[in-house]
Amino acid sequence: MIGPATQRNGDAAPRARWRRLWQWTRVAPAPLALVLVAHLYFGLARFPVGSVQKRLADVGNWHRLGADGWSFRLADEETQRIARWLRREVRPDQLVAYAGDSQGSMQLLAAVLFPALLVQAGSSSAWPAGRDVFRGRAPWLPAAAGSLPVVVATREALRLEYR
Amino acid sequence: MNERLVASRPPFDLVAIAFLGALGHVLLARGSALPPWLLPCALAVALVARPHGRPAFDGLPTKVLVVAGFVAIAYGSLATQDRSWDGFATWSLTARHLAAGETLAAPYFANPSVYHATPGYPLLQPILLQQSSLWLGEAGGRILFPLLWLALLFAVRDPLLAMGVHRHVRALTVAGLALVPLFTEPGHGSAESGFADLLLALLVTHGAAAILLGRWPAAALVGLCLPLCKIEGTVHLFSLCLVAPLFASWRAGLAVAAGGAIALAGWLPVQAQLTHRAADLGGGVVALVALLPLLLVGFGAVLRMRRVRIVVVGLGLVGGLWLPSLIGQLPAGLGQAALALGTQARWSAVGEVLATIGAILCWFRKLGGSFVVLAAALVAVRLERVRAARTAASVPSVAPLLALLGCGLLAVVLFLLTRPAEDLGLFLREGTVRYLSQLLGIVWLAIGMLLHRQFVESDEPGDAGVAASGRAARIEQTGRSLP
Repeated sequence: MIGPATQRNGDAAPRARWRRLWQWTRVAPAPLALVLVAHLYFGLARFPVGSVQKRLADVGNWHRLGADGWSFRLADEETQRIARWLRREVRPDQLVAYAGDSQGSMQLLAAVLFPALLVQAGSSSAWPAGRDVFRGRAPWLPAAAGSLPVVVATREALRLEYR
Repeated sequence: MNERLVASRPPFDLVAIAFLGALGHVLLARGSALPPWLLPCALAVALVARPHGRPAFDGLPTKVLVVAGFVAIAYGSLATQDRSWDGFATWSLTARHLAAGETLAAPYFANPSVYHATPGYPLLQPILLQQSSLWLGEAGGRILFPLLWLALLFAVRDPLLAMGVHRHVRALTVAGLALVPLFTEPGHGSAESGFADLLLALLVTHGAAAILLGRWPAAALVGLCLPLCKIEGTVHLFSLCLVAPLFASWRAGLAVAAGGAIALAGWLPVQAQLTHRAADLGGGVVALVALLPLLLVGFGAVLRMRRVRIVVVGLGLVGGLWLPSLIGQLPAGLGQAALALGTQARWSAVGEVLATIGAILCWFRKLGGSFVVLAAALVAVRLERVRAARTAASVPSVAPLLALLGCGLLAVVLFLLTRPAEDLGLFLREGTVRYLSQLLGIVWLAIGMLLHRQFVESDEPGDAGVAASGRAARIEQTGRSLP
């Protein structure tokens, strides 16, 4: 029987190919299960160290350093000293003059000094009315001509000038 | 007992957030301070409108995991102020000013000589934080953050339940999301960091579920909240508006667009006021940008009509080229990014950006294996379909979710390409993982659906829909474990 046999032999190669593909696809869920288990295992294994231990350490350090110390813990000593001094000396209803880069350190200083406000040094006519301007004298700085302390900021650091 | 959650009502948390956000913005725009009665009213409305069914997680191990994560995040939230940069210096600082009874006329918001790090940032999270701190104090109000994390887990679990996904799969999916290190470990982008990425992830997940399940009330509330949450929220809004009619429910897409149009029309003038550029913002631009979500839905709906597809694609290309110049007329935030896209995009950095994003997608220490699991699930399900020649499935297609992920990743790439050269490194290091975290809810929603299709549904060709739903029901009823 040439016809049916030929037909059967002609179908044999593609059928074998599909059978091999079918057998291979049966193991497709294995990598999925593997990465899912890896994700769950990784999260569980990290939890004691990452979520508990690190958090306890961060909270402890925050309380030890205070909001200003924590915020500027990576900054230089002068920046940390300025932030600490301002936080101690500035009253809640006062204005503190600033100049320089408005990104970086200045962002943290504004939050540290809340509810006191930072105001641009060069626009005193626009400063909010009814608030005192901070005029404290930093004890570690030499006497200067100006009486207005101005916090001059770069992205990484704070400096104090008197104008 | 059948655990299917039959609900077209929007989720409790979404109603509360939308109520607070919408009414809060209206009061602020009218010059009022935010009163403390907003929160109880929002909770009351949400209680009345909540879906039927008792919220719960599946399986004891998942419940233990969720409780452990919640306790850890709650401790970190309540023990200190924000310990991360943006949370401390922007979102929470604005909330503290609002909690002090200030209105938008107060010097912090209204006086251009007063320092304000991010005047154009939306106000939804500060409003939520202000309300919670009015009742619980500044420290206690930060309970908001672990609650948002919990809400994100429910935002993934509840749609899976509605789709009939098996409870073991739901439990695995929620556990997987709960164990993503970025949210549970302290640091930039963590749940307690004060960043608004978690809130945005929650809203985006609700939006994805709403268009997937055709739930237009929830979709409308998501559309209302997204532009009020973060600047990226408007981008996600556009994604939902485009994806919904193309791959999911056009009605839900229309609802998202309607909510988004209302939010944009109300927020853009307020944003211009906060950035002291109200005079630069024309009413026509506001109207056009507010209409954009509706235009996107219309574009997507017409694109499905084959006869006019070529014409629509052509119009879409023209519109796409015109879009940055339109949005660029907005004086802050999205406008600046859109303008930069036209003139300052550094296409030479595309290799670096793509390589970094690729590496972050596999960054186990931050995102766990979220995207890797999704990729493996897609491959496995696709191969299973080839093997079993399956034509039907008992859960909806994940195509809308994949489309949303694609839009989100594209938006991240384009945004990074507009960063100045000196800032690109910082954004790649610090910002990219947070932008990707906004998509994690969608990722795990898709994973849950794919796991169900892979491990639960029948592999009998042609009988998949009937056999799968029946088999799933039998497994739930008898409590037998997965094969």
